[in-house]
Amino acid sequence: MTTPAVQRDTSARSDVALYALLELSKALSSEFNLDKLLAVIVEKASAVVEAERTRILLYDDDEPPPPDIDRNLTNTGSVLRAPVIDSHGNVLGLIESVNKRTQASFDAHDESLMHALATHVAVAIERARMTKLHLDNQRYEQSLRLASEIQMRMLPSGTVQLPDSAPFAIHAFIRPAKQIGGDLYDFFWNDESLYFCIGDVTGKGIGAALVMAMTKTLFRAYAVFQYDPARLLSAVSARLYEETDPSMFVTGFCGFLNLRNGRLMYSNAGHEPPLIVRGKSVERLVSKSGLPMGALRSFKYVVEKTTLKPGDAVFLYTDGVTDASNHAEELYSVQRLREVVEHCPDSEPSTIVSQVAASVDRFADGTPQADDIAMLCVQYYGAQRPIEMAETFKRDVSELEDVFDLVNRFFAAAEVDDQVKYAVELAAEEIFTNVLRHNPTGGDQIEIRLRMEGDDVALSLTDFNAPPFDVHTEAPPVDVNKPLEERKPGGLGLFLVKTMMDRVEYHRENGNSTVTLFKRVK
Amino acid sequence: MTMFDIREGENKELILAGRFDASQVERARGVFLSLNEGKTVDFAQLDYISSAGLGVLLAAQKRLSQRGQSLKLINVNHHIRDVFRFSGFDQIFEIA
Repeated sequence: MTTPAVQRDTSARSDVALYALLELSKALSSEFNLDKLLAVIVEKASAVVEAERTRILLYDDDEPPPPDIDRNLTNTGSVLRAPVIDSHGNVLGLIESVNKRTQASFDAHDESLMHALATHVAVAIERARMTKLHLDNQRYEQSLRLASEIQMRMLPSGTVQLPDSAPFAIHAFIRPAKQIGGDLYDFFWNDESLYFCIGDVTGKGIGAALVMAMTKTLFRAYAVFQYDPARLLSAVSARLYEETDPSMFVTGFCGFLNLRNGRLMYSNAGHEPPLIVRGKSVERLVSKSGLPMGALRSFKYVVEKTTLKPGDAVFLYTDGVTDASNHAEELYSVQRLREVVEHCPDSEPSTIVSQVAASVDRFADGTPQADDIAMLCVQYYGAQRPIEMAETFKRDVSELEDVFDLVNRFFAAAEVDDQVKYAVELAAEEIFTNVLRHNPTGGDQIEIRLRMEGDDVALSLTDFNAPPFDVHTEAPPVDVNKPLEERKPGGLGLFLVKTMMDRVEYHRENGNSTVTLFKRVK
Repeated sequence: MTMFDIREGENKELILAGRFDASQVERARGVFLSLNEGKTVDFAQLDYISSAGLGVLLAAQKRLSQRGQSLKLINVNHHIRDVFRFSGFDQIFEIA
């Protein structure tokens, strides 16, 4: 009776094979690296089907499976081959075991083991590939974030703190639609002039970002010694033409503002014309636009000129602002932009830029934007920027420290010499303490204001709802030649003020008393 | 901004430092009014004085002069020297 023996034999074999299959399954589930995974499969599979060796062949994009590939298991007796098919029915590869070690040929039992094996392998490979894709994506995201940081650091910070005496203010803003973008701006200045530019690279993604970086660098490199905006654009354009893909263009606008007289020379390379803000009037700055940079090997741009009066501002932007879209797929438009700029409470660059950014955000209302947004705004104050500072103080001598602080800040901003400062400090203290003495019970605060008025520093003190007190007439005269015994401290303060300052004015209006003292700056 | 300070120096002189303004006079007044003999007052570290400070010095000078004593001011910077000149205090203090 051989049959039971054979059956026992088959059953014992089956146990060993199933155990090997289980081992394989465990190994597969803990291995996520594809190369190591394949090594495990090859090693364990031979144990499962008791083969001399096993090999595995994977197809990829470079070597796809032939269209007529046999999707069924093949058993030639010495070669047992199964396709590895993923959950979507795609043939990932083949697994093939050669030469049965324990008998002449692979049998039906081996076929079913091989089938199970191929199914496990497909799941493991699919999982390993997805893991790799996920990790690659994560690394890509990380690189993009890093690239974004590098790109943003190439641009000067958009928030610029300048001394109050600076003849201009500038503020810029940039927000790429994706992590990296193709918009750029740049600016720098010296005592004579302010240079600024804005640009927009056609196209998106990493290519545009690289060209953006290059354009920014070219602009800065040429602008340092090329003070002609048209020649600057021509130079940048020629280099872009030489060194970038023919499909890449950059629109741009650049200007040089003479800080002494407000003359603005500018040139436009296919860019949105900036807005010019003169008080409540907001117009597009007239410009004969040339071609975008990088379009031709050589192109002559035109220099145009205008003069900014003190208070005028220029607002540059990229089309990401006006082409921002909302849920209804409407565009933000130049019209909306102009209205927002017109309704700004002042023409301070930081105000205009933040109001436009807020308005665009309200309009878009969370709609993802296709294009980068960049803005740059410059306001010209005039070579002699009117400097004025004011603060209110409590009716208390302990406020003196803050009074002096105000005077200090004013003089730091006005850059006036020390001799004048000492007189103004003394005058501020004396008129302040005088009010404390003469109107100690007044309920309102006291305002001290400092400003330049022509060549004079003007120091004003306003006491609100105060009884009249004219320093001119009511300060008692002081005879500085009296002997010690007859000298009294009273009245000395105001006397000193009148001596050390050049001129005193007294003004009374609506119950408020204002005394203004002038000191000529030498 | 330097805080106002008043202290005695190594040679028994009085040292004034910082800003002698109306918010600082009380402490200085106490020191000056307790003087019973003439003193040298070193102004080298004094940046600023207003009429409030002048008033304290004037009161001390008056009091000392009744005993035939006086304050002598040294190292007075040119801003403060101007203030003394404008107020005529250069005639009632010895400024070295």
